[in-house]
Amino acid sequence: MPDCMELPTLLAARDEGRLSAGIEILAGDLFDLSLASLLHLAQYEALTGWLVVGVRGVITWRKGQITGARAGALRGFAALKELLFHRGGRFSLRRGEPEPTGETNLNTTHAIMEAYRLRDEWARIAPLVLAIPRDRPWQPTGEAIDAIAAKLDGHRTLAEVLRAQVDWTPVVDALLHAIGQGRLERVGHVRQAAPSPAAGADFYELVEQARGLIREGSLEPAQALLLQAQALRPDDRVVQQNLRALAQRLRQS
Amino acid sequence: MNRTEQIARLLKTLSTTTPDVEAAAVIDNDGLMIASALKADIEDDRVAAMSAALLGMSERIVRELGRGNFSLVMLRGTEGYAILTRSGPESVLMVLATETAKLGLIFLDITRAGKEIGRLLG
Repeated sequence: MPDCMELPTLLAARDEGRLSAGIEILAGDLFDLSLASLLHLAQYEALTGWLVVGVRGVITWRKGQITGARAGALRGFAALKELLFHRGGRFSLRRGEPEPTGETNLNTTHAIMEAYRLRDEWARIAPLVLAIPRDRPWQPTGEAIDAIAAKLDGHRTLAEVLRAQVDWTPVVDALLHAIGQGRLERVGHVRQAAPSPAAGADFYELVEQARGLIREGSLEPAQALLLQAQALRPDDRVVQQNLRALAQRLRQS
Repeated sequence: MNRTEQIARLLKTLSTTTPDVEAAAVIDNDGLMIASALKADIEDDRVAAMSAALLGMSERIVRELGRGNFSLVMLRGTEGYAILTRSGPESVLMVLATETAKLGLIFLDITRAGKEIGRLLG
């Protein structure tokens, strides 16, 4: 594999599991070292190379300046924002020679602020059960939110509906817009909204405490803890599955 | 780091460092997911329910047919394998492997991971 690769070639290589070009200088999980920290590190070190974020995307640098970003169908600033929005995932930071893509002047600080704003907004709306108002049929926008709106059945939370979503940030933004305009409404009393997690609450501690309560048969307190955990990590599949299984048991009991 | 986090990391390591392991999950006997490293297109609820049920049934078959202590159950399809083993008295380790997987190596890694998860769950 050549040392000098264009971004589409990098993406194809990543998808085919062939991305071994360049020299890996750092690898780990974004839960341990955030993408925002890695962006600053690459800038301080004037890195020329690329960062592969699991199957989500790739960011390329030349002398510490971001020269391109890809995430799903997103490119440039939108892709950078998308990658920053997600908390976890394996990463591999590599030194190498990617070719410039023409995507210059990507404002890292702006992307970080936007992504973190959307994270906060998503934590707020993820546990909501939404539906299209009966008196206001959905008007297609031609964007990804149309497919999401069709899945809003008044039973599943947004976190469940968007579980298999690839590009989140455009959808979260569009959902916020639709809620603000009254094109989507909250369905009352179907699913308890997630309480705010206690200050300093640890995600895994909450899950473990919930599991202990389930073993003791204390299902409702366990559900409250799992909802707190979900507020911390709305897209965590284990917590989503536990909540669904718990809701089923509560209905049966 | 608490034990749930350790199990999640162990699963992640298993599915990323063991050749041919595509996905893995730990489920309790009642069908609640404990940790998961599954692909996005796999239904967690089905995996959890089927794994708990299949392991219970397999253990019973081994016992009733006088085959000694249960070790693991393996399903083979044209696209690969699904392997389930005990990871302690209250949990099941489920692993999906490719059709070209080297089973000896996979069994070794699954057994080790199962024992470690069992130790963590106490």
